Amino acid sequence: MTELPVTREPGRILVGALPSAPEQTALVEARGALLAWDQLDRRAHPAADVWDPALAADWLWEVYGPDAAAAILDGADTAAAEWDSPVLAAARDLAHLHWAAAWWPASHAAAVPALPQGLLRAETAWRTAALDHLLDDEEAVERALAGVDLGALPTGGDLAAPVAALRERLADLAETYGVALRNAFSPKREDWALAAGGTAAEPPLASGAGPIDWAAVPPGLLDAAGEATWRLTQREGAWIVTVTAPAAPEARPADLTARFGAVEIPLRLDAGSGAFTGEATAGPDVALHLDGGVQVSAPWFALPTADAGEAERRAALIAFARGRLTAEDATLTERAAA
Amino acid sequence: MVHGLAASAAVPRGLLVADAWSQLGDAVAPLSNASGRPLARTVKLLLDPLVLRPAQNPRFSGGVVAIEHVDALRRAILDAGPALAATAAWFQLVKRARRRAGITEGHPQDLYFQRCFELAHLHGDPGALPDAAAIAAATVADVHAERGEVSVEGLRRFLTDPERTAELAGLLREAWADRPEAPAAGPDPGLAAFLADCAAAPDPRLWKALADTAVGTAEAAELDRVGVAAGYGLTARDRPAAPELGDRASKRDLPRPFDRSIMERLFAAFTTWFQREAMADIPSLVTGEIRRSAAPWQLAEEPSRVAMALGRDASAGLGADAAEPASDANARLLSRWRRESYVHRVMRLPREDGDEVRGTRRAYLRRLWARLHGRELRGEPTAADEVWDLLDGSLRSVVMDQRDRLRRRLERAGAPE
Repeated sequence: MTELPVTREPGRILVGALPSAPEQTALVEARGALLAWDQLDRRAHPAADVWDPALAADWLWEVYGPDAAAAILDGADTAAAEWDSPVLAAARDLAHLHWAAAWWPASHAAAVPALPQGLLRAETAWRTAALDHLLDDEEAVERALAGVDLGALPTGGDLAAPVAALRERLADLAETYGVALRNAFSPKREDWALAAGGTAAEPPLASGAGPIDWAAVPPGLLDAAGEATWRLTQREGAWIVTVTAPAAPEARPADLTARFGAVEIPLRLDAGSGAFTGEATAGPDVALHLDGGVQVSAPWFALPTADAGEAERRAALIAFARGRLTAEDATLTERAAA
Repeated sequence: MVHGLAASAAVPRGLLVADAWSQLGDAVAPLSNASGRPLARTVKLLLDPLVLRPAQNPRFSGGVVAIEHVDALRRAILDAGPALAATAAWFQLVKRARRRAGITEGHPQDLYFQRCFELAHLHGDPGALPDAAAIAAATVADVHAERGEVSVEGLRRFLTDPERTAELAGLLREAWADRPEAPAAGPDPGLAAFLADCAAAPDPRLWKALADTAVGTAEAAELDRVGVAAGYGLTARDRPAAPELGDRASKRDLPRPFDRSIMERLFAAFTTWFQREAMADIPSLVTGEIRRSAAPWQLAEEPSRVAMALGRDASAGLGADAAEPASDANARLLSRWRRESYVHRVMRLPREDGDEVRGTRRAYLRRLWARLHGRELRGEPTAADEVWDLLDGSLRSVVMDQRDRLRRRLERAGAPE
């Protein structure tokens, strides 16, 4: 049973509390309410931000059960949900897949494999379609199907049968929703850009390491358990800062930026070392900024934020993800990654 | 089967529909999703307009149904069971015919659901019919043939026919020369009153009164002042000016609505909406569009103009830093916008740049205009209880496009488009 406090504001009902940080939030946008599960506090029933009770009334009973839904809508200050249904299960799965697309902490260091992206999208489309009747976006299924590439689905292996079944269901959905599924297998890109700079063989005058703010970098690029390391060396009389950030498993090339004091260092994926790395010349006052450490971000993506509890949350999410790979209710995508 | 009806005086309509639907069994699976619920469009295009008909049966409308009408609602759906099962079977056949014909245009549910319901009434279950496949193929051909006549190519030929261009240009000149000076009115209190209730309990009398007293037309007067229409994103010019007839159009890089040529206006509606059978023939479409371009808000019907004025007021403050809501509708749109930035963070999408954010309200008013314009071309009236869907749906559509854009940016890893 899930006991949920219900609080009311004008035009809005809050059921439970939405998870405090984006990276632990598994979200479904339903008609009239956001449903959110907390990945670090797993419960059967989600928290909800009901922004249009009249719209949500149509389906809220499918998530919380008729009694709890009536309590939520009729003014009670707690609701006890004991309900289980295929719709609740599908919503929980979809929320989890949405979370995995954004925050799955793939890492060499922590032994969390990357998720097969093609399968993730396919499974997401399938779960989206199961909820077609309660999603806010009237074109959610069409949009999800448009992202599917049948050519990117794994073939063979232990999961050949369920993947084939998924493929068939998606083909049927595509016909019902009038979407032409892509079927263009594109092999992994091998033309990775070479990292700027050569092998920095000079002994560093100073070096250090620091955490990476993962909200400041796009998903799928950096090792979720990795730290950014920096080295300060002197070459031909100039100060050189070299920054390295370990890449996630199956990372794709992208432009990242490291900031070290006043120095901006462009980082490129180096296939050989499996890291984003780069170097830049620093001014003579660089030695004054050593304790500021290094911040890695993608300025086009987001600016770094300072968030105190981030490291513990990340460690917990890495442990959670590792557990998911062998979980009884693991998604097809997770089973394929394991 | 859904168990556990709450013992309260009213029951969620969705629960009753789900319960009755589940009793129809596998026969309606083609109209259902994997959870066994009717598809959203099954409700919108079949159950509501053809089976439950809440307009005629107010007891079946709204989010909850009074306990004394529960059985009647269930019976209405169960009685329609054979027709719905036949509709589902026809839908399967029609999809197969569509695949055979190599057709990819349009949304199969939008295009065929009601056709299949008609077939079900005309022929019953297709399983017993030897020529069912041929009927399905003929239906598909018919649906798409109707679309063939009013084609983009036909439109281009008409607009560029040298025998006609002088006449059409003359019509356009006259229409713009005769534009009445709109009386500059003060803000009409009816707009605010309608926005206060349109989401929860729209007032049909007030909606009619706003149109009858030409409030939308009066509110269009400001558009001729320097910068006003540009501020709403409807033109890039200081003031709206007469459009060109135009001889080309492409889906990419359409100008702002008031800057679109007659060709581009009709083209945009042709490619967005796959319901051309509801549209007039090309000559009347073109002359209608010429007249429309010179009308207040560049829309032909008063309810559309009222809707633009409502959208203008309801969207105040979208994309701005802090906004104090001026009405319930305004508060709801602002709250959708705030929710969106929360969703962006949870989905780990790239940040938007400032111009994108600040352009939200202009994008919103453009989208609303395009939707109203499309409704006019299809001859679809807008009832009081559809206005909020239109106002809110336009923002949802803008927001979803924005998300798609951010996702593409993510895939390109920040490289410029």
